[in-house]
Amino acid sequence: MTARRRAIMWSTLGVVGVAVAMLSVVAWSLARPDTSAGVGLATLREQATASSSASTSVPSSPAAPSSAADPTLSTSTIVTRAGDPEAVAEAARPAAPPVSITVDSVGVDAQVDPVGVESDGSMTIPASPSRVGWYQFGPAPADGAGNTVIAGHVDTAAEGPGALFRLREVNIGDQITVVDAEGVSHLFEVAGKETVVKAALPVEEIFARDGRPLLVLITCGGEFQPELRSYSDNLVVTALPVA
Amino acid sequence: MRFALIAATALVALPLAVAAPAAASGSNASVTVVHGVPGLTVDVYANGEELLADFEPGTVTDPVSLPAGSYDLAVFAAGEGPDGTPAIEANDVTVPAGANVSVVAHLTASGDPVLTPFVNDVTRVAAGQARLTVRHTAAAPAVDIRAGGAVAFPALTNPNEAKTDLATGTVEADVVLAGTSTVAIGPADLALAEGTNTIVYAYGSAEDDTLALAVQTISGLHSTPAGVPSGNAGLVDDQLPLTVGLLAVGGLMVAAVAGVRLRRTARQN
Repeated sequence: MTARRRAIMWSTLGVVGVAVAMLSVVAWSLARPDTSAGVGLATLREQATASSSASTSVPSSPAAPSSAADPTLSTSTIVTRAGDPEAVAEAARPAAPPVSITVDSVGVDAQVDPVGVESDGSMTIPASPSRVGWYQFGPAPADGAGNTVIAGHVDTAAEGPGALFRLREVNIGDQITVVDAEGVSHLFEVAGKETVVKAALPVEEIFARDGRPLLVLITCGGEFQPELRSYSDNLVVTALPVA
Repeated sequence: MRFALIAATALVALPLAVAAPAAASGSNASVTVVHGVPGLTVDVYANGEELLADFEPGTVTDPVSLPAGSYDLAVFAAGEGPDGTPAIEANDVTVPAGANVSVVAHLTASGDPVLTPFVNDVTRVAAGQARLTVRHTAAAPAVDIRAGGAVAFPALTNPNEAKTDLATGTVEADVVLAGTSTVAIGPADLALAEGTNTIVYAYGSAEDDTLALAVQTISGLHSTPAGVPSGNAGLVDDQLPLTVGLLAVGGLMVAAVAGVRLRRTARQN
């Protein structure tokens, strides 16, 4: 073999080696579902704030004098309510809780349990990954404002993949149906998908009880940390109600 | 006259001045008016202006945002104000900026009508919890407030309050004469919603057999969960898979070997 042919052979092999290294990583990252897409939760909530503040007039609150002597009263209609316990309980009756959720595009079909909080302050997640939990202290789909929060294990060591296992494959525009205890179907459309480091999860925004009505689905994602038996990130999917 | 004019100025102004919240926000205060004097529908005037008309006993207003400042409050039998003699009067009531206050028209322990302002605890409650506040505003001696048959707040006297944060849910409450099991009011089911301060007033008169409960609810005091722990098996691990990693490292090693051989070949020429 001449030196020249040998040189060509080695350079070809070098190029092929680099190409294999790069292609394998690129192909892997392309094959994965996007971990974020669409419009994020924060933006969705801001959009609503901007549009609502534009359409509603700012209430005129009289500037209080600092001396605070005999301030003028704006005696608009003041609502009075019966104070007896039965009437108060009836007025505060909560909206029907969600009982099931389906996302046909990624094969999600799960029963929904009302859940609260653990002693460490984190949201309770149903132990079985085949069920998902609805944060019962926050809004329900029938409420006119705030976020309906539904979360489930992506998987558990005991039972394997969960109902939300393929949630990360969801695409913007996919439809989600939530049925409540009164049999009413609430249709939503995926608007955003975000992967958030758990420590930085914007809980105030996720569990907001005011603002435009949204559906927020949460499961786990990111790198698995075996020593903690936990994932590094939360996958947060945000959906808007379809009128 | 039963509804004698009470010089309640000192009584009213003092607790407000003492209890002005540290974290005052804005220059307004949130004021709720509670009517706990049985048998008298009233009009409520503040600084000579009618604030509320035909206010029925046992009812509670929604919170009203009022500029902070000093108010002269007068309560008249419906239609008799503002030039007649008020049934209850309180002058120079200080409403501090940012405060959340309930002004309660009620009877003293001895049966005289007064106005008492209470500062409401609107600090946040932990996620999953509710706050229960009880206030003795009845013409009655000291009472115990029981929840589910057990004494929760012992020996409460007019016009004082007690409170606690507890798990969300429905509590069966009744009011008994302090230290006895003689039920004065109730039992009544109290629905304690998460993130609220449910304020229960015992009002009316033991002597006239008009004791009752009135409930005021302050919502929006909730906290959010700290996080969402939702997976522990590692099946959707986003880490670079081993095969891909090996392929990449292998490719680079081949390239490195080729580079070394290439230099050696070049040197031999």
